[in-house]
Amino acid sequence: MADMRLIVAGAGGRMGRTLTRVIAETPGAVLTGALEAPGSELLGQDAGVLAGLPANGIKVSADLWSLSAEADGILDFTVPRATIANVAIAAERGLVHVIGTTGLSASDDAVIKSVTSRAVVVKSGNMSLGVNLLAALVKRAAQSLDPSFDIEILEMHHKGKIDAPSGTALMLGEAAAAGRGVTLEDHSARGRDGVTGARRAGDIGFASLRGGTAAGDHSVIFAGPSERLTLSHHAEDRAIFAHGALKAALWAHGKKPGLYSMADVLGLGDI
Amino acid sequence: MRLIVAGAGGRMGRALTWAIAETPDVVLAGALVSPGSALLGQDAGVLAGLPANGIKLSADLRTLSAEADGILDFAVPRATIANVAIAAEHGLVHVIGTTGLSASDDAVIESFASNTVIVKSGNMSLGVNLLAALVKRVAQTLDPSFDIEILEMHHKGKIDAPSGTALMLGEAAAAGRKLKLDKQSARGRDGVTGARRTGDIGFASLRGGTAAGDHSVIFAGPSERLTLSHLAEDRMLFAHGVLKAALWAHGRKPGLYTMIDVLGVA
Repeated sequence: MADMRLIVAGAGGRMGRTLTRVIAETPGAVLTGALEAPGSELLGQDAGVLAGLPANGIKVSADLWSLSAEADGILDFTVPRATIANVAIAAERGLVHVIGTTGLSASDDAVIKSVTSRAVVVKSGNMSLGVNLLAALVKRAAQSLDPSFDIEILEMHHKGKIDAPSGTALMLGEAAAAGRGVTLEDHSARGRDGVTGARRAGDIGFASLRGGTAAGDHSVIFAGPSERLTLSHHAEDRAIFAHGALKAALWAHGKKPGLYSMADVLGLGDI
Repeated sequence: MRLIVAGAGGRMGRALTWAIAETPDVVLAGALVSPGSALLGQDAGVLAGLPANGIKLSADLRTLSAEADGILDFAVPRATIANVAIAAEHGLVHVIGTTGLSASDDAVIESFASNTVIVKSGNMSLGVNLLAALVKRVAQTLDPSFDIEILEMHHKGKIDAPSGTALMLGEAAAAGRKLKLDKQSARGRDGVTGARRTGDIGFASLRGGTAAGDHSVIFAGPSERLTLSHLAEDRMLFAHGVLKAALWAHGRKPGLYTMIDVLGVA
């Protein structure tokens, strides 16, 4: 098959530039368009140079309709308003639309879903292959191990992070709760400090560490009688989200219309 | 569930007696040793460091079987092969953790699986078996841009490397990748090894202290790593796995099962 021709939306942003670099090093994918908002001061600049690469002749444009004529897919890690504007054009032009935009409202989600009867959309709040795979494994292990195994979730992030536990830690907690057939909100232990009393059977515990520049480490510990199983993910940098988006695009190329997730891309349905 | 412990005077037999005493839904109904054992007639509870429980060590499996639902067998191959026929005849669940069985021993065991329930595994730890199943699935799912490395640590008395369990995990990874471990492994790296060969499964071994057995399988990909680890605190975990297998097997239809079946992680 010919290389998949891809447009990067938000090409001037941090994630857009990472996507441009990852496309350049990924076999089977080629950059054919770089999209920015109308009025952006980056319009007309070379996307390769913006990404810290040699010039590649792809000039930043605000005209998705024209770019679509020479493309098979669009990688979209932007803001909700831009993504919603892109989704109709992408569907009309038959592009695979990979959406990593966060902060989408329920009505945004409804708009996206409405086009998936005729277009291929892959959408996930976390495009990391490893984290999505980890969540599937956690669910599977929680199903397999009886309640004599206590479940604890430990995460570490950079010192600038303002909330705890991380969204990904909670996602892993939801996966564990789903595997156990319980609801997380009724079965979690957070922020232990002081005389907590003994551990409550069936709880899923959370602990958070903060420091340095850690991009994100997560461990899910199944602590049973005389043994412990630990499933961990360590993110080295944000390129993992770009790698996941590329993998999603290549997987979705030629699929029948529908709304897909990273679990579909990874074939995690039967883990 | 009424259980007989075979090899009741051995280290594993005593651990099983101990685990049965603390596990709901199971009860010790018999303690088996070989004919001529110096332990015949002794109390199984006392031998296991518990209060006396009235179960006297016996060499007569046929008689013990009349009052039992299953037998837990961590004996030697010859004893296990002798037990398998009697267990089948009496409809006992037979949980076999005996190691060193030959191909012909395995054939004998399999021949009885058409009329009795047998669970057999070289590693009865729940966690290690689950780990192996997860490793296989992850190796299937992640493309070859993820390098697979296996790290293990054991006590300072261990004389070989890598551990049998590390190799079992390597086999699971190789099965997931659909490659042959003997052609695609990197062991004992030292000196100018050259760059890592694509597709290899790497092994590294640490030795020290009293570590009962730690294993990690690392999937190292572009900018991220997934690590699946198991830590054994002590040998009681094997006994817990055995009891879980026995309870699972109680009432199943005849067949030869593994810990993978018990855990439902095939």
